[in-house]
Amino acid sequence: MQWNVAAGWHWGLGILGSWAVVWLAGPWVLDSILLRVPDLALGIATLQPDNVVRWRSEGWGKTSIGPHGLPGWQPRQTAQRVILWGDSQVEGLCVDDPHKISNQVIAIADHPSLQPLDCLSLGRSGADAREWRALMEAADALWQPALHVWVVTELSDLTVLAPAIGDQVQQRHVEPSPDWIKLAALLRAEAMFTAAKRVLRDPDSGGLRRLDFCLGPRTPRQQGESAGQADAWSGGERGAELAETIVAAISELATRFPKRLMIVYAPGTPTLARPLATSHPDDALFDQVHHKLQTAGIEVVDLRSEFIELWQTQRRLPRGFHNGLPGSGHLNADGNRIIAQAIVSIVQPRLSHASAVVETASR
Amino acid sequence: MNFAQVEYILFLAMIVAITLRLPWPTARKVLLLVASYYFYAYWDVRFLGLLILSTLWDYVIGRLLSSIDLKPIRRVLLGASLLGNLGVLGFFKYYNFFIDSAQSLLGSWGLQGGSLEIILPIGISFYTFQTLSYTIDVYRGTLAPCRRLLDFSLYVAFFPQLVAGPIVRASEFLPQLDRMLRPRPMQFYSGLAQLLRGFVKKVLIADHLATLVDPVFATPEHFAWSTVVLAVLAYAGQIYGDFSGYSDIAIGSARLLGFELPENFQHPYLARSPAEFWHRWHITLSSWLRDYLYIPLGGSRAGRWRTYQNLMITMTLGGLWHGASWNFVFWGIWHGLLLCLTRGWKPEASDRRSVRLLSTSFTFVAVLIGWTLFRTASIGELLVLWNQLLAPVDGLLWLPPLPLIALGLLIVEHAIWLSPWRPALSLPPDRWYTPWAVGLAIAALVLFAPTGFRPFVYFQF
Repeated sequence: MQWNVAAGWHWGLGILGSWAVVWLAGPWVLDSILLRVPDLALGIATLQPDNVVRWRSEGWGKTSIGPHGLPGWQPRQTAQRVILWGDSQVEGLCVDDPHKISNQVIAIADHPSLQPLDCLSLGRSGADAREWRALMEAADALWQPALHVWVVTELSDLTVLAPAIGDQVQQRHVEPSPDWIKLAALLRAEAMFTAAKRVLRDPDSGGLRRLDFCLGPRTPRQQGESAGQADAWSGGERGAELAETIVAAISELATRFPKRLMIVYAPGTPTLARPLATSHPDDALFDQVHHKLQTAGIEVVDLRSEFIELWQTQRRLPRGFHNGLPGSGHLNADGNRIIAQAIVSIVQPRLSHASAVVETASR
Repeated sequence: MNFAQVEYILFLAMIVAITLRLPWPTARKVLLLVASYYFYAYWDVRFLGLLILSTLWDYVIGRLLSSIDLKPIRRVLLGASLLGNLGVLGFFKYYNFFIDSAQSLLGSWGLQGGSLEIILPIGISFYTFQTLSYTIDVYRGTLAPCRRLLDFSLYVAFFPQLVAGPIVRASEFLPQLDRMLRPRPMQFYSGLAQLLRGFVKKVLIADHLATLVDPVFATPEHFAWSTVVLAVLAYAGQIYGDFSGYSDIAIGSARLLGFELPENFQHPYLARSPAEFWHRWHITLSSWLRDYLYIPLGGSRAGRWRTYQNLMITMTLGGLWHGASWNFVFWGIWHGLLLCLTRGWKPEASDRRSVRLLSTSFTFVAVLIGWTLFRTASIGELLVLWNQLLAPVDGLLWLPPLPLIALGLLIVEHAIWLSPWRPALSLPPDRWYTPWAVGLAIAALVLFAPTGFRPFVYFQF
């Protein structure tokens, strides 16, 4: 083949044509570009309301963004409200709307023998207890929920309440999306956006990719420190002191929301190992926190045994998807269902009691 | 430096650009040698000395062999080369294996040995085999010794094939150094096409299949039977995609620099017999073992039982070459047994479709069984895997879509190779579909590469 003008057209049109196919097919196989806008009522940047978000990287989910950027939420006027606080596990973009924790709570409570419920998910990727604490007043004023539920999927979400640790952790401020991201979303340029992210971002650190041309040997990258920290936190006096600090912070908060704060513990176990890993380095510290919170009158639901039972009875895991690693990563529909069932089973007696009190008072 | 890193692409582009501009052949050789040493030192500069020492050892022995006619002295020189190369390989690769094996054998009598913390120098199995073949060929008189140290050093260290092959014979490479031709346009284009094929095999096929293989082989007892079967199939695809992808990138890189390296794979899973499999899988290793081990042992010239013995020795040592572990030894023994049992069986001579199908299926299943020996880290793990295959207990049904697509791509590629569309796989530049295929492949590489870095499987050998 001669390299001439005709060959240039042949190759130029072919390459551009193939990329046009990728551009057209992108919306089916690639994640949406996440747009964030400021929410004045909550004072944070939330997902853009009325947007529809596709998640394709772990799980295969479609999320309709409701008012105030709440994923999968449509307001219900007649029901008592529950607000869920958490991180991306509670945000639940990796599952379809009906499988999110909040919508499973609504669906389970939608039964003649139960009080109807409305459930809002204020889970945000990267959020932790410091952010939840900061936003609870605003959310309470906005929606007057019957209950606030902290869904804790990693104990580090709570340990940031201890000042010494919280100071070390960078508070994650989610900024509204810049103009170029908005433009990319407008052009439906998911493929370009994903390609740019993959080329420019370091997959291990998440920061900007750096080229490395130095001679070896190389030392392995530092592993994430959370497990190691949890090990250090859990032991002896240090663990007891940390548990005390966490419980003091939560107890102080609970006085502002009396009988309306509950904690659900849904850690990343079990995981596939030989033998099946049913414990986590955080467990010892959590057990201390759990015991002290119960003593302080704050309700805690520990779902570890339910998660293990799911494996033992159905050979299914609460986390992980077909296009991810089984038992690892985000909560799937099964894990969300177990959490939703636990929330409904705890909330319903309280609501029944509350409505009975209201009924008696109204007579 | 790893072929699948962005750094390698930039490094290669820079070296190609400079060599295309440099008018002096010797300067191009010096540049390629410096680039090759840098490529090696990028992984670990401490072992660069070992590479240079190994090069000097065989260069000097080659020179001495060319000037001495006395047979006993020539034998001593050959012995020195064998001792030097195999001694280095034995120490770095097998010292701990033999010490640990002896220790577990003698441990019951209370005897203790001491294993050392030894890092395996990357590519040592490949470059020692190259230098060995050079000395043996010179000793046999089938190859003239290399006169220029620069040429010999570049033959040993040429970066595209340095760390995981193909194992290049001096007789194939040294004449190219004499000519030092620049790549012709079509050679350059076919180098780029081969690079792209290699990246697709490694990144889109092997690395995606690894995401299924790794967790299932780690704990097969937790997965459903169908998932375990799928993982065994996926491993066959992974190791093929990984190693043949590496070879494609090596051959493509060399072509961009004006060199031709031998092909290493010819769709091995389409082989109709175990013997044919070894003519299609890691061709440069199997031909090395044939020429420098099997035939010197007597080959098939000394009767049936000696032939079987020679096959078993060759394949067992070939297995051990892959790694210092008993599972590689058993893998080699398995293939030796297959070769012995099917010796004289020539299904490839038959034109009947049923014979072709049955013999290909038999060979593929036999190779799959071998891969389970190759992939599992111990006999205990192998038994757990086979227990779940033969007497499965309830487990997680996990069907990850991207590895399934990767497996599908591999099957489609094999189907095209068997069809009249076979030439399309070489991406002829004047066909309408080639730019489309290239554009889609580049987009898929960027968009669907698994996150994180996965080293090539054969780097550990």
